[in-house]
Order: sequence, then C-alpha cells, then structure tokens
Amino acid sequence: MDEIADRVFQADDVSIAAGSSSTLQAFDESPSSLSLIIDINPLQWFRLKDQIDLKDLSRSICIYLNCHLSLNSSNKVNVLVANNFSDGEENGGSKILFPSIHTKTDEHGSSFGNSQGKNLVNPNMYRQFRFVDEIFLEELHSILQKEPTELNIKNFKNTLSGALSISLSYINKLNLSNDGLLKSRILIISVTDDDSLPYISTMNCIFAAQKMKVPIDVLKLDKKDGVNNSIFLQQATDATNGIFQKITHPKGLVQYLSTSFLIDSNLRSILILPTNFKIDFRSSCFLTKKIIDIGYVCSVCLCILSLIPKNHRCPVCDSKFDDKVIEKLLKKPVVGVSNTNGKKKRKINSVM
Amino acid sequence: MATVFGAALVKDKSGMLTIHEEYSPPKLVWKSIDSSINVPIIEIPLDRITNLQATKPSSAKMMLNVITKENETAAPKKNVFAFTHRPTMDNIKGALQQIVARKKTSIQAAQQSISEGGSNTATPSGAPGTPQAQLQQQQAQQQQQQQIVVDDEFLSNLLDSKRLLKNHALQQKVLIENKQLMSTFQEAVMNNGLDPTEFWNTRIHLLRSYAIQHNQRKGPYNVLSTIKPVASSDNQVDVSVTREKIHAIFEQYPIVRKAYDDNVPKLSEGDFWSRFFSSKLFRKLRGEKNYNKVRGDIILDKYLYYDPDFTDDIQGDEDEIGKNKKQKTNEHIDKFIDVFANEEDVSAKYGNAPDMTMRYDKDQDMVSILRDMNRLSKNMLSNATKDKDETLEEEEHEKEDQLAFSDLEEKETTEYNELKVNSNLNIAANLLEKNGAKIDKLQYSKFISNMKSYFDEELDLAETYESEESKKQILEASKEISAAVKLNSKQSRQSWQISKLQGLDSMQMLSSSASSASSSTNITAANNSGNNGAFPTPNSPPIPNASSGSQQDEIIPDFPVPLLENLRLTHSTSIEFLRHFWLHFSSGSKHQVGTLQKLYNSLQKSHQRVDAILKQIEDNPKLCMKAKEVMGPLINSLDKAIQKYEAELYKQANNDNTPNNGLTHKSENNNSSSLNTSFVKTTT
Repeated sequence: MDEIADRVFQADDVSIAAGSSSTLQAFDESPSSLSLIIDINPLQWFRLKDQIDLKDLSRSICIYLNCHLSLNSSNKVNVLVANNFSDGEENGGSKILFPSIHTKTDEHGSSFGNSQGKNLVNPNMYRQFRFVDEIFLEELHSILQKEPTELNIKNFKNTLSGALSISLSYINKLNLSNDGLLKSRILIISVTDDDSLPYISTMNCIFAAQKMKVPIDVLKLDKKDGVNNSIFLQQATDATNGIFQKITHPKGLVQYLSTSFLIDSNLRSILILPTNFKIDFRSSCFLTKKIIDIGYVCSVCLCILSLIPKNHRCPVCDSKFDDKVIEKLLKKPVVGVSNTNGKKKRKINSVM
Repeated sequence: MATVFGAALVKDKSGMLTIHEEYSPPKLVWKSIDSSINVPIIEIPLDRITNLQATKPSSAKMMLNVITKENETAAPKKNVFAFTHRPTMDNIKGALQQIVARKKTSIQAAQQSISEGGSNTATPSGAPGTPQAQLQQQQAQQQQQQQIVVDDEFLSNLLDSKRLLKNHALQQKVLIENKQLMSTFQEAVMNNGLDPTEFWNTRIHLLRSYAIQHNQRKGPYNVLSTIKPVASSDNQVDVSVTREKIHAIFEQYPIVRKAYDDNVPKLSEGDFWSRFFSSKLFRKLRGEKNYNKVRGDIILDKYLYYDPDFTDDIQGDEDEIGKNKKQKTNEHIDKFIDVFANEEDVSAKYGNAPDMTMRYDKDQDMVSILRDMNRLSKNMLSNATKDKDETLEEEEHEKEDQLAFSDLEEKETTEYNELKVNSNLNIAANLLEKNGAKIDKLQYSKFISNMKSYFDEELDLAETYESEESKKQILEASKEISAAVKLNSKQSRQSWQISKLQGLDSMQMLSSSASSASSSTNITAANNSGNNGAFPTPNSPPIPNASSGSQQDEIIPDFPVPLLENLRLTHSTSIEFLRHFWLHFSSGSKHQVGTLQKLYNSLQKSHQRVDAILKQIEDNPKLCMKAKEVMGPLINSLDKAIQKYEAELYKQANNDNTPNNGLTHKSENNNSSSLNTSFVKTTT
C-alpha cells in the first residue's frame, strides 16, 4: 500500500523539520479537531459485557473529549457512531452525535440537560465541556432507545467505512472554512472485526485520509482471548501515521485515551507512537474475505484473489484473464521422477 | 585587430617595438625612431624565444629581457628592451606570452597528431590541405554512419536475452562493478555450484541495463562550449582537443572549416588550432558576449565577418570576404513575421497619417472615390462564392498557425481505461451472520433493555478511576503504554532492518525527544543504510545513501563483525537459492526436474550452513538468541521450500509407484541420496 500511496506524511514532515522555530510555534498554537467514531455494534458489546459496557466507555469518552477541548480554546470535536441497529435495515448505520443535527446547537444556549430537563453530567462542570458531553450523551441515549431488543433483523452490515467517510467529509468542510490551519485526526473505537468491511470503500477512505494528512487512530476493544482480526484498521493506522492499540485493560480505558490517543497530529513526527501491535500487512481475498499470505492479483484493477475464478474473469472489473497466464499459474510443480530423465541427465552434466 | 606596438629603448636609443603576428612564425621587430642614427633593426622570430624576463611591477625600472636561441645548441642571446611606460610594457609582455604559449601548444599538437598516426597536414610542406581535409572529413562521416549501423545491430544483439547470457565478458564487468552481487555470485555459483546461467537468468535486467548504459552513443552537442582553455603554471594556455572534437567543430561550424581549408597548410595544423582558440572567432562562436574585448588573432578574426549561416556551397575567395560582410541569404522570410520589415513599417509612428481617409483635411473627392471603390469591393466580396471566402479564411488561418507557438502548447490528454467495478463485491458482510449465530436471545434482550437505561441518571465521571479495579487497570495500562513506546523506540534503532524488510514508514523510527540523544548515532546509521533516505529529524538532516559496513554494524552493538558478515553472506546466498528454487518449482516444466533437485540439495545445504553458524555461537546464549531472531525468517522460508518440495515429491512418487519407475529412479539419480533420506524422514 505504501508503494501506491504518496508519501504525503514524509514530505510534510520534512518541511516541518526544515521550518524555522516560528513555523513550529504556529503549529503549536494551531487548534486541532478530533473526530471520534464509536462502534456500538450491540452484538459485540453483548460479548464484552463482562469487561466493559457502553456506560463505562461513555464516561471515559466524556473525559477524553473534555481533555481535547481543554488543550486549546478553538479545538473542535465531532462524534459519530457506527454499526447501530436502531432503525432497522433501511436507516441504520452511521450517525453523527455531535455536533447534533436536532438538538440545541446554540453554543450559549440555555437548555442543558436532557429533554426531561434532567442533568446528564455534573451541572457544575465547565460550561463548554458540559455542552459537548450532554449533547453526546443525549444523542447516544436516543439512539440506544431505538435499538431493537429482539434479534429479529435478518441482515445488518458493517457501516464503519460509512462513518469514516462522514468524518472525513466533516474534516474536509472544517479545512475549507479554516484555511487548512486546523489539524484533524480520527479516533475509531472499534469492537467489531473488520473483515466484514467493504474493501474498496474502506481503502478509499484510508487513501483519502492519507492525502488529507489525517491520522487515523484505532482503539480496539476485544475479549481477552479474542483473536484480533482488524487488518484494515491496522493498515489504516500505519498508512496515516496513526496509533493502533488493542486494549487489554478495559477499566483503565481513560488512561489509554488521555495518553496514547491525545497525541496531536502535529506531534506525530517527533514522538514514538505507542502502537502496541505488530501491523499485519496482509490483505484479504475479495471473494472469500479470508486473509491470505500469497494470492493472485488482477493486473487491471489490482484486486486480490485467493483462487482463480472459474470463468477466468476478474470478479471486480470483469477483465478477461489471459488463458496462457492462467495455464501457467495452474501448472503443478514437477519433481523427482519423470520420463525425461535422459534429457535431464545431460543437462546436469553440461552444467557440472 | 591592431598590431601590438610600443615605444622601447634599446641601449638608450629610443625606438618602436612591434609584434608582427601575420608572419609565420611571428616576429618581434624593433626599429629606431631616429632614422638619422644608424642602429640596426632588431628582428626576433618569436619561435626562437626561450625565456622572457620582466622587472617586477614594484620596481622603478621597466625592462623586458627576451632571451632567444638560434637553435638547440646555440648560446642564448639576450635582448633587453627598456620602457618608459608601464602599461606599454605589460601590453607587449602579455602579447609575447600569449604567442609563445601558443607556439608551445602548437608544437605539442603537431607532435601528437604525428604520433597518433593522423594525416600529415601538420607538416607545413605537405600536399594542398584543402582536399585532404575534406577527404578526411568525408571518411569520418562515413565512419560515423557505419558506426550507427553497427551500433544498432550491436544493441539489438545486446538486448537479446540469450546473447546476454552468453556474454561472459559483460557479466564479468557487471560483477566487478557490483560488489554485493560479486559476493553472492562467489558464494552461490563458485562455492556452491549454482549454474551461472541460472544465476544470470534472474538478473537479465541487470545485464541489459549495463549493456545499454555502456554502449550508448552520444548525440551531437555544442563542442565549442565544452572546450575550456586552462591556464597552466608557466603562462601557457592549455587546450585539449581530441580528433573527434575537431570533426565535430568542422561539422557544426562550417566557417571554421573554411578557415582551416584556407590557412592550413600555410599554418601548421597545431598553429592553426592554437590561433583559433585564442581568436575572437572562437569566442564569438562559443557565444561569449564580450568577444571583441580580447586580443584575438589577426588571421582568423577575418572570418568573424562571414555570414554565420555560411555553408559549403558558397566557396568564397579571399577577396570576397570583405563583400560578404553582409551576405545575402537565400532564406526566405515571410513578410508577415519579418521583424525587420516591420521595423520599416511601423504605422504607429505616424498615427493615422498614412490613412488619408481618416484625415479631415484631405481631398474630399479622393476620399469619396475610395469610398465608392470600397463599397464596390464589398459588394463584390459579398457576391463572391463561398469557396473563395473559405480559401481566404484558410489562408488567414495558415498565417495564424505560422505565428502560433504550437510547440509550446501542452497537448496532453490523459487516457483512462474505464473500469467497470462490480459494486456487488464492495458490500459489507452481514454482521449477524457471523456474530449473531451463537447468541443467547433472552440474555441479549435483557442486555439491550439494560443498555437503554444507561443514561437515565446523571453520569458520574469520577467512577472511571474510583474503584480499586479501575485504579489497578489504569496503572497497568500506563505500564503497557510505556512498554509499547520503549519497544517501538528500540525498533527504531534497528530501523535499518525494518525499513529493508518491510519498507515501514520511516516515521515510526523517529525517536522521541527524550531518547534522541542516545539514539542519534543509530538514526544516522539507519539513514545511510535505508533506501528511504528521507528521514526527517530536526537535528539530523537526511544523508545520501552511502552505506558502509562499519556504520551498519553499530546497530547491533554486541554482534562481532565477522559473525555478522558471515550471517549476511549465508543469508544472501540462501535467498539466491530460494529464488531460483521457487522460479523452477512454480514453472511446472518437466525439464526443470534436474535443476530443481540440485536446488533442493543446495537449499538443504543452506539450511545446514545456517545451523552450523548458530551452533558456533551456542556458548553465548544471548548472541545466539539474537542471531536466531535475525535468521528466523530465513529458516522459515528454507523450511517451507524444503517441505513443499518433499510433499510434492511424496505425492508424485505415490501416484506412479510402479516398480519399474522406482528402479530407474534409483539407478539414474545417484546424486540424490540426501534427497531420499530426507524423503524417508518426512514419510516416517
């Protein structure tokens, strides 16, 4: 993937390194925006219920958001959820929680608390923090209310790539209105394995983030014995200079959030990042979705296959594969005894 | 150009000192001013000068001592000239120095041309030079053309893979230039019996690029700009010109050829060239701006006024030179774009004066006639056929085309291949299918109902850290994060390995400000060895790729250098064998069986070599572990290749397990004993 993508990050960092102290200062003082994507796939949370629940997570997230907001008065946050089942098959998926589209968006608005006028967080909290936290909690609450209690949906898709697209669009909009001064980053709190993600959309998101110089960080919550299966997200962090951490101490979540994931994108070039996972650079087969070591690659669209399709056509771009090449690929190795022994012998002799 | 002269005293008698360059050899002549006194004229042929002495600029006296020798054996003769004016003396001194230096070079050039076995144009008494030189040139051109043909054939031969494989001389050259390849070659081919053809088969691209690189012909270039006179220590101006360059000069500057044809052999060839390089003509042709300010050369500078577009067709005589100052050319310039013509006809200068119809004080009758005629023309034009209009337009268009700088326009249309992406494949998998199957539905419903009441009450953020369990886990998390940073910083020290093996983003190898002091040397080393040289740290600018063994070895400090070298060599050799093995293994060709078997044996030997090295350092467990770590991937790949081969062998042996076959197998494969034993090993 590195080969395909521009080395946008490096080029940027060279310029930072070469820049004078005044430019560094400008970077220091420039505000940054944080996009947070929370994977609320209830199936996975159900599995994790003994270790951590959404309530615990929300507490830590509130602290995290407050931390980010406190670093610079112009810092911005943006919170999304992915994989919610709330609206059934048609409308489910990704939603923006903050900035909210329905509730009081006036920053100096008076209506705090939820719709019943109840406080969601400590009313003595600093007003700016409270504003963000309450909207986030209330929106999350209202989404959870619509979550079906019965498992009666037939089909539900992983919508993380959709959430990623939304947050990238949001960042792009912010960049346009801030002359690119605002540095952005994305944090994905993921609970679902990502082999269910659509390959093309996800990769497009990753490349877009790379071009926009937006680091994607991933915090992976998994069962203790869970086999981590998030090659997409691992590669996303690697390609965008982000951090990938698999959380082994869910109750200490706030520690992860307030140290590892509070690293501003400007600082990435001078800090060693606390990625605690060996990035898996393998890819998955387009047809079987299995992760493979060695596979076939379509020479036209570069899609990756673990097997040769029966019709000898690329399943993605429908290009016809060369019969000769296929024949070559299908050849089985010939070893040991063969009826051309005499020939072989001669060849050996000539060599020796 | 002006001849150099100046007032000088000889034995207290005033006189005029003149340098006559038009003679060959040039002369220095002193004549007394006062013709009444009978003082002999002093004539010094300048090729006799052996030495030149002048008083220092600081001294009050101004004397120039010209020492001459009649011939090699004669005693040196002194001629002392005294001057009253310092610039005059300097002027004469400079001129003499230049002429003497020129003489020296011309002698050398003449000698060189003789020793090169070149033409005899250098000898003054030779046959008429003009036809000879032309002949020479024609020959050269023919040669060049032949060369091109030969080159093309030669190149196509070179690029043929089979010929490349047979070209041992070429292979040798490649090996000598590429030391790393050489050591691999030595290990794999010379010491371990890999077929050299095999070795090169995977490296045809190297051979090809080498062959092309070293057989490229140079196209024509501006020769004169490459010639740079170098002033040497003894006032000599050295110009080195090769025969090829001279040919190129003749080709590119016909005027020089004409000058050459006209003057050689009156001048010796060497003399001609030394005159040429100090002439104004040379400087003008080279494109120097202030060529008029230098002294130049009296003979060759006549050619300055020749038409620069002079070609061979016009064989001008000596007399014609003057007339040719402004030679008419046959070149036709369209008035439409002729700048000189425009200069003569700038209507803007006159305002609307030229157009009498635009002036109020003009004869009204005249104007009305003109108007009538215009009206008539207009009518005629409007009645004219459309065809004519078009041709007019076309003409206009043509002229516009002539004016347009079409070559500067970028006409790049990127062509895209439309890919019809099957969007059905870009659909996320069903989460329920994968995760929902084994879920207890009752428990799930309970869980969801519970979830709905999560935010019914106020969220106490303090709960994140208040419980004992949280405190413990926060501490653990903090430890884990520091451990991850430490590990990553360690890896950044070994970044040369990582960057080579995985091509990791070098960003990850950056050290934090805290550890930068300790690891700065390592970073430099990594910089040198890694291919991605861009290594942005504020204090260490990227250093170009200049890998040297000693610097690399710093990275694993406790690794003894010989061991590391040994490991490297074993590694590269094994990789070489692996590469060939897979190439043949996956080719599926029956003819490869023998080679494959040999490669299989080599792989086993490679494995043994790795084991042997690891065994050598067994008594140092720390080192051994590190070595194992380093060689791990290699051992894995060797194992995998060996396994694959054996599995395939087993499969095929089972398939045609007739006794007949088995017999031939044993009798014909004497060298496969090791193969059979290992084969047994896997089956039992």
